Amino acid sequence: MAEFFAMGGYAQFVWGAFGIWFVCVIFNIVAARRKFRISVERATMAAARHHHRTTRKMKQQNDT
Amino acid sequence: MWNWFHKLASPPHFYRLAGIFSPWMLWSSLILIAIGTYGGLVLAPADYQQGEGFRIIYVHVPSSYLSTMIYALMAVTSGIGLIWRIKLAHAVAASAAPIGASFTAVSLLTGMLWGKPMWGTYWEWDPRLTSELILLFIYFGYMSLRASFEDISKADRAGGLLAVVGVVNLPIIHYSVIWWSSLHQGPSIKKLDAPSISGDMLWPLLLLIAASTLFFGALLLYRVRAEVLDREHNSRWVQDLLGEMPGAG
Amino acid sequence: MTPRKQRMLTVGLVVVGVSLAVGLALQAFQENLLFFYSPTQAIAGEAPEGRKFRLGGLVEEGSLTRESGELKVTFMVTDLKNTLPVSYEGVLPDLFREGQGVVAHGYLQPDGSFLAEEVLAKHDENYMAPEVAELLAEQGHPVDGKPAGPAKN
Repeated sequence: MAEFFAMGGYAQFVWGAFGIWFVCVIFNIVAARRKFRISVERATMAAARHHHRTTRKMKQQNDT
Repeated sequence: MWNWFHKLASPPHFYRLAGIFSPWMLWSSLILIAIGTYGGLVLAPADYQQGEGFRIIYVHVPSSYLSTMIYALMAVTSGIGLIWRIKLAHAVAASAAPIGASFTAVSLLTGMLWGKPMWGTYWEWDPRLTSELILLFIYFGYMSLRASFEDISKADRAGGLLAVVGVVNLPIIHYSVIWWSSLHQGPSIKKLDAPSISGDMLWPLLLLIAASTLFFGALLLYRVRAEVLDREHNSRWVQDLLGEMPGAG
Repeated sequence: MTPRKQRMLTVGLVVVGVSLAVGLALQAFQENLLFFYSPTQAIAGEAPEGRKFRLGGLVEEGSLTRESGELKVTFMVTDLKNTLPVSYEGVLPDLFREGQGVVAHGYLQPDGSFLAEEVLAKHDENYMAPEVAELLAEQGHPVDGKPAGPAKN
């Protein structure tokens, strides 16, 4: 096991490279989900505004 | 065929389909990446020249491949967007850029970590290394150019033109090791029937290349969905979708 | 001409134009882009005189000599036509082998030898397990010592 982690003396280079790759994979997942969540929130807000406007308009029409 | 293409390019249809496929693609790609990493780190034998140090190939080659493949996709979709005025094509290009930039950075960094013990230097102004660095700058340029526009359709046009022009760098990266004398060695997988890498070392590499392509596909679908929502939040279908069930996606 | 065809033409012309410009620029700078010079070019005086340049080629088999107890080494660099003696003081990279590619950065001395300040190893695109390499060598296939692609122009 220790031999495996030593990577024939190249430990810092091999584990460094795999570490960078792993961080990039995780970062990409987090960043994509974050972007999606923000877009959904923004679009939901826009939809709610629109909904509010249309219902008010309909109410006004009913009142008159 | 044309009909089918138009249907796919319609935002609500794309949004729905992408939402179904992306989680499956993401999870299967992660499983395949795990298998490939195990194969590369444990099952593959050490190299006759580089010993255990050669295992960096299993992260360096997939990320280098992604860096150029994603750029090619970005250039093609930008071209389609510019010529046929398809907004979804621009949305794909814009969504691909940050993913491509991140893997270009990984390609450069893992290459440096490989170069230090083997060549004797982290960095050398060699044609291959320099052209890959230029690719990273083109990605950054594309993203900051887009960010500088308030209006999405202007960002699409300006960014699209930059992406299309930047495609000249791709053949330079690819042929840099052949055209000029370079420190970087030639490609090991030129054709699949006679690669310069033995079979027990090759399969984890091919698996990781395929898995990372799938991984990119999943991320791209996530990001394009978000991009579609940004662009279409005033349209009827988005309001119907999100007005009924707030926060759902 | 429809607007779409016009856009197609514009995009196509821009790409062709930029490619031509970049291609011509690269052609013009070919000299500077040359990452290393071969021994033949260095001997013919094509390499910059009195300035640092890179010398690339193969380390000739059996030419490596190490001065005992010191980091000083000398070896011959060949492009299979001409050879040049190189001296260097420092740590050699892990892939430095006789018969393998090397790129040395330094000066050409008045006596015709090359004084390297930095030595980089250039490796080939072959990857295999040590046992496979041994097997291939037994069967008489050269697995290393292949020309590492000295300058092609």
